[in-house]
Amino acid sequence: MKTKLFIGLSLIISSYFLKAQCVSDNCNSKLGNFTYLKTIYVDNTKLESKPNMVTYLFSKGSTYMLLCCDQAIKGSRLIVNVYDKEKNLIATNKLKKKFYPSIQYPCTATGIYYIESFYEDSKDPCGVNVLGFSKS
Amino acid sequence: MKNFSRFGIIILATVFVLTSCGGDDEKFIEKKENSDTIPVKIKPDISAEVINDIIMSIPSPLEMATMLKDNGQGYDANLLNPSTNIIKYNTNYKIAFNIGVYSADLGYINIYEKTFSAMSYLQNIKKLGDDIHIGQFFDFETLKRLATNTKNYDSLIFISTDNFNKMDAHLRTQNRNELSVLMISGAWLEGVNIACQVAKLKPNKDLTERLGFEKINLDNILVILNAYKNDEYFGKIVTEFEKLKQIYSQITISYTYVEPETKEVNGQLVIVNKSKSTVDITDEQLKQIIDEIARVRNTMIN
Repeated sequence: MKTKLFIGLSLIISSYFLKAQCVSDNCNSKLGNFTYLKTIYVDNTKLESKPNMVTYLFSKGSTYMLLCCDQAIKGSRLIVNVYDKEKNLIATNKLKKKFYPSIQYPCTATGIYYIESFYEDSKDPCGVNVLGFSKS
Repeated sequence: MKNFSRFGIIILATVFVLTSCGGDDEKFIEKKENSDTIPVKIKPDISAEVINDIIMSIPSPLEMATMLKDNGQGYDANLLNPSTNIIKYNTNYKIAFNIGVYSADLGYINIYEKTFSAMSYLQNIKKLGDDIHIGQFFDFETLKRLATNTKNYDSLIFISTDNFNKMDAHLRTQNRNELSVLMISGAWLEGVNIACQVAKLKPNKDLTERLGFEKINLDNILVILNAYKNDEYFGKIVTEFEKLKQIYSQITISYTYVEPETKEVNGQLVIVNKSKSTVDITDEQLKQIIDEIARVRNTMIN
């Protein structure tokens, strides 16, 4: 009984901390030579039918790095699409069924861009996008 | 069993305390508010969602500062808002606006790795942040340590930017969007003013074009400032920014979409972009923008 209770409590505690780590800002360490700009938090309600959408002004002459950090669990991957101001698809991290952990976008046209993020399904997914830049 | 239950309660209590400490609100101590936020909470004309979207879209002044540095422009401390001006910021609105201004200055200092100049700006942001109860998101001690260790520029830039984002996000989650709008507007104005002053002394094509494209940000900032224009302070800023908009209205921006290509480089996805954007701006229009930005900025920081 004691053992079961102990295991149960340990699981509760560890799941709390694992979840906390999942949305941590550690993703930014993968930016390398890119300068950090923003963290875009994507909560687990954001599915394809109701994606997370943020806008950002990209400037020509800069290269933007968009990190797509998730738990890499099949079925719950974080999908990121970038659209221009006319809603033309510019970039996606899911190409021919392959997921890429980042998108590099050397910008040649200054303007407002839409960054859309969503999970494949709702199996308790967790992730963030981190945006950085460098001069091209 | 009794001892074990007690142990379980202690663990659960610890988890509860840790969870509670996750939000910095617990450390939040109410102070006496200044007159400009006490009477009636201003209701914006547009939804909080639209305001949040626009705030998120405004680029960091770091991008402009990086461009200046990469174009070979030297550091000039005279372009910054003097740190001694802090005594002039005695209302919540002036404080919020000038947190933005000083944050843009700090970004410029950090990009140029002039950490000896950083300390007074760090102190000012912390002090002003405390005045409007967001100082807990500005990790002054860590930033001070990084600023005194000249090898940690990347960490200094990251933490400064992250702290600014957290202060901004906290204001918005607390429904104090009007202060967030002012912070973002101040940061934008200061970043553009630094670029304008550089363009005045050493004009170049890239910089002129970049300043022309600021029309997009100005339009967006005016949308969120206008949402609060019934307030006297906001009304004053809108009037100033509208004069700037009149100059920018003569500038045209065009965009041509071409379908991009993608390629994989070392496991990373790289977009080969072929779309183009252009801005038509004359030397005379640039001069008008430089003068007007400087005038508005001087009004706002004094």
